[in-house]
Amino acid sequence: MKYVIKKILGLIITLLIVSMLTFFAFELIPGDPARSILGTDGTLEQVQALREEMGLNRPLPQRYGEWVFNFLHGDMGNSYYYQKSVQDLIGDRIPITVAMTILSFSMILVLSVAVSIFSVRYANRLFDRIFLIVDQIMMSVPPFFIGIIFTAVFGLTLHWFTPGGYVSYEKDVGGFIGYLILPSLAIALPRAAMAAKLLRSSLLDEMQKDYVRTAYSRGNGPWRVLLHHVLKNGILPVITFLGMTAADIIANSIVVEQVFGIPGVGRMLISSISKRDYPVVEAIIVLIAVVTLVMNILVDALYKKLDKRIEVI
Amino acid sequence: MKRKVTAILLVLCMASSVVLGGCSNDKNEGGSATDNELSKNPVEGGSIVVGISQDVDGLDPHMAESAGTREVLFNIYEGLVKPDSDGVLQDAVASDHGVSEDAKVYTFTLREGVKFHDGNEVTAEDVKYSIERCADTSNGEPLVSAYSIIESVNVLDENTVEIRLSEPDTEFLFNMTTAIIPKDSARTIDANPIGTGPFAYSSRNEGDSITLKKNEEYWGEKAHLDEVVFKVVADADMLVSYLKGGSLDMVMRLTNAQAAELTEGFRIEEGTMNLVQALYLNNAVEPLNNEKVRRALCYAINPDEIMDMMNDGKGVRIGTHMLPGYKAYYNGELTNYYGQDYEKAKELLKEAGYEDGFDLEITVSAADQPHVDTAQVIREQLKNIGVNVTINPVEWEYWLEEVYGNRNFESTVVGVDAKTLSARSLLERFKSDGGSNFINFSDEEYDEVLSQAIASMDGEGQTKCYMKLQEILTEKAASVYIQDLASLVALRDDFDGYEFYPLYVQDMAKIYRVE
Amino acid sequence: MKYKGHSHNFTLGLGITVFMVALILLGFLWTPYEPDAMQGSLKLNAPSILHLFGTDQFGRDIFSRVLVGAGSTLVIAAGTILIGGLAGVALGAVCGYFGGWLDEGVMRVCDALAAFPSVLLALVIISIAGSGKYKVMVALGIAFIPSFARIVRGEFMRLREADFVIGARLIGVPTPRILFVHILPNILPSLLSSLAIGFNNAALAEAGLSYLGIGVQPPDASLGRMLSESQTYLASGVWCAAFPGVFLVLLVLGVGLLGEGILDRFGGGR
Repeated sequence: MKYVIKKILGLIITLLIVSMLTFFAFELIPGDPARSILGTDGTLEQVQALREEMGLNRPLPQRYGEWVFNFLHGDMGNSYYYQKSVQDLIGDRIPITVAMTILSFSMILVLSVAVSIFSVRYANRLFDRIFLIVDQIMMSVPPFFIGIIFTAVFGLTLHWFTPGGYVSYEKDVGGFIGYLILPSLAIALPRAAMAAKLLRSSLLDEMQKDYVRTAYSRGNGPWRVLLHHVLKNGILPVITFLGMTAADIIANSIVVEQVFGIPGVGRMLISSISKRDYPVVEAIIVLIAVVTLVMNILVDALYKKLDKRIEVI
Repeated sequence: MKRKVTAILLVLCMASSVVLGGCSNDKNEGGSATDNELSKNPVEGGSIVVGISQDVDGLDPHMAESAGTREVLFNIYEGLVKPDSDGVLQDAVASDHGVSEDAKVYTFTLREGVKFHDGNEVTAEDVKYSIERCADTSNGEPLVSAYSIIESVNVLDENTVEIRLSEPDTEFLFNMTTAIIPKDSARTIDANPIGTGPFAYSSRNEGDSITLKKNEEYWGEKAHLDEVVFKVVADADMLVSYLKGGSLDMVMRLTNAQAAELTEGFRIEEGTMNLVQALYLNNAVEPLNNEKVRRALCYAINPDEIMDMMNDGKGVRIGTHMLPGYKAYYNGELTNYYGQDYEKAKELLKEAGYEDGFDLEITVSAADQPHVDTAQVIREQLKNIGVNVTINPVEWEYWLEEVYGNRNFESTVVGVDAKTLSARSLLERFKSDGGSNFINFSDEEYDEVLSQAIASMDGEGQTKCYMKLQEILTEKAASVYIQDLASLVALRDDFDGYEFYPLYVQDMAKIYRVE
Repeated sequence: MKYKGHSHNFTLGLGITVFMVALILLGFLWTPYEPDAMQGSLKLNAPSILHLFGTDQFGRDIFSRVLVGAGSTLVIAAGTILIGGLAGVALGAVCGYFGGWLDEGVMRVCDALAAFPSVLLALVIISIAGSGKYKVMVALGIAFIPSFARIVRGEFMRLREADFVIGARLIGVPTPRILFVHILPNILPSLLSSLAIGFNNAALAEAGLSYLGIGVQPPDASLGRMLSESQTYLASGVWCAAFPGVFLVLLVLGVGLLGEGILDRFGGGR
């Protein structure tokens, strides 16, 4: 219990710092938002009036307080570019990015476990050696380059999918998931390669332990030992890595959404940056930071839980 | 809160290579893939997906005037009159119009049976409301600046509206393309756009797409397609993949290199962007305040070479601040006024006291590849007369503020467009004390001829004045005029009927499917 | 650093890295062609003896552009780990060695910063300060401080009670000397390998940002931007995408192997 309270307190403090950093960072932006809304035609009086209307003339700490208060109540402000609230704008996009994140994460998990098990099973044989080389190369390829290769091969040559032909989840859930598979794979491959490498060495370490010999001596086959005993223990050190992967997936989805023309949160972020639409940028950044923090804590908790169980055994 | 856009329209394309522009009335013979397709038969119905480089900034036609928004809204809204593809104004919501002899009273008869997309008929009150909304000065400048001379808008009877001006203006009809919207819809029009055009608004997903559907009740020739989807593709590098892959059917303003990739399955239509691209010189800074120096630059820069480098020679060379598309006003004799002549340029520099050349900074919007490329060719050309160019790529916002707003620059490459189809909209800018005279051009004769032109009651005399104005700009070397940029449109060959306009619009009603 | 044994990773990684860096350094001094020179008659020419990597849509020599673009990547990635590394080492050393409220405070801020994926943090900084080669470098550098600080802090915490440190304290060696002369060399293997990982992350982040058009701006060449532009020509000029991409992968691969090799060969804290 003490642990949970400590963690939650830590989370709150960290969130406060994140929000302050974001808020004050955007205060430092050169240029006047009122001026940029009115463009070159705005007169000095108009700019002043708009500043007043937008509340830009009030003291900073008060505005920060209001911003946090509104944010907690689901009011993320209004976009400068679209006359719409930020929550309306990004509401539809969150499920897209979430779906992509979940898909990528599952792929990383499945791919890394499957490949590393095979590689451990046939350690130092041909499969393992090829795996080590391919794995090392895969780790070095940026996801957007994989995306470009996918577009060239599967899109323009084999016509398995339509580049830019994103299907809305409101229209057709199957088509939606189908379109997200390649982008998710592009994000997952480099990370899965890293995870597989870690998992492989962790599994090899486990294989040296006494309980493995015991399991063999009881007449279990090599596959059974691997899957039922070694994997359970060997995956533990890799969990922290998988936790950190969440942040990485989100960061990479920003770029990969661009390659595949997926209207997710990342594309909104990039287009808002280029439009200088700061309320949207601010909201998305805080959201991503919150998601990452919560993920980190969940992974931490999971690790602690698994770790205890193992101590008991 | 709207983002107001100035008269200069440049597409802010995040990634790269698209400029903005308009189109042109240079009709074109179609592209390579089209020759043997004349046998295909037009069919009604169908849907088309059009790639646009930036999202519309709103659906309120009076507020949203960025170039990219205008070209989409053209299909939804109409004014009392609207331009056809030759740039000639045709009656639209009005069926007839008249001008009093003193050019101070314009009278419009409404067309019978014109309906809004919600089924209501357009009334004289709707017209009065729409015009007055744009002429309202309670927030400072009226939404349409030319409307500042409107004295009153009067409903004479249910089918007749009269507009009274405080001063004569023979060209006022050009401003009557203002969209007619239902009375008292100011608060709802952005979320629920209702116009009279051949297409009606259907749905929108901000930052991704906007969908229009055919207006079955349209008063004129109805659209052929059932549905048009404008899809935002902010990264120009994706366009070719999307076209080839099949998720886009049509894209405007492609570069020559992009068009060259679309050899199969597409027709490429060729026109111009209706932008006056020039090396604009700040006439108020040393040494560019010296006419001889400016003339020297004109002699040193060769527009043909620039066009060759950029677009294999496509585009139309110009010699003054006028679009070749405005045929009635365009002073074509000025095109080759300055032939490339390094010796003459050096001589002029010597006379001006810059025998050893000087340093020149060209500020250019980094996202607009054609302008950046142009600046690079200019740098090479100016080396020949000892002028040492540095290129300063900046972001569009910075450009707007520092170059256009504060006039804090030496020179810049940009494309300037016209807000209406009149010569005046292009030339009025350079009045010595003009608010948008960002190059600080100052010439007494110019101001005098300009006021003559505006006051003129006779069309021919007016045209002469406009010709003279162009001549002055060229002779005084106000800027180094280069070209009206080429505009290439790719259309999947299941479709046909694309027409260029001398304005920044896309007329989707003309496009039809072929089988 | 203690020698632990032979490592294929180290040898191969060092080989690739030296080769790539030598090529890139060569690119700073000399390229076969002017990287920005356009030649209308040579548009989208396939690789040949004259143009090893072919030419792009403006007839520019891709090999020259790849060298110059990879140069930007190298400068940015190196600058990033220099900024992030120096600040991270200083912060991590002080926090790890002294602990206490200072440690607590700095690590909280580091946690907060680490909540942002580093690309995102760089995006925030770029959206405030604007894009461009050196801004990207500074932005990524700042974004990388927390990760270095955490690693260094951990190592310093581990070593602050080591015998040789306690001994040095007893004979009155000044604290800065203990920090940077006594302890620092002992953590070099793990520091170097995390610098290698940081270098790769920075190189990939720079490529991603430039691909999005918010990193290195023209006229500076960059691999990310070349890859972005190449997408138009996937059918008629696949080399426009392949060479910049493979070049980037090789650079990252080399440094990655080298980083692992350092750990294999000299051991580390792990």
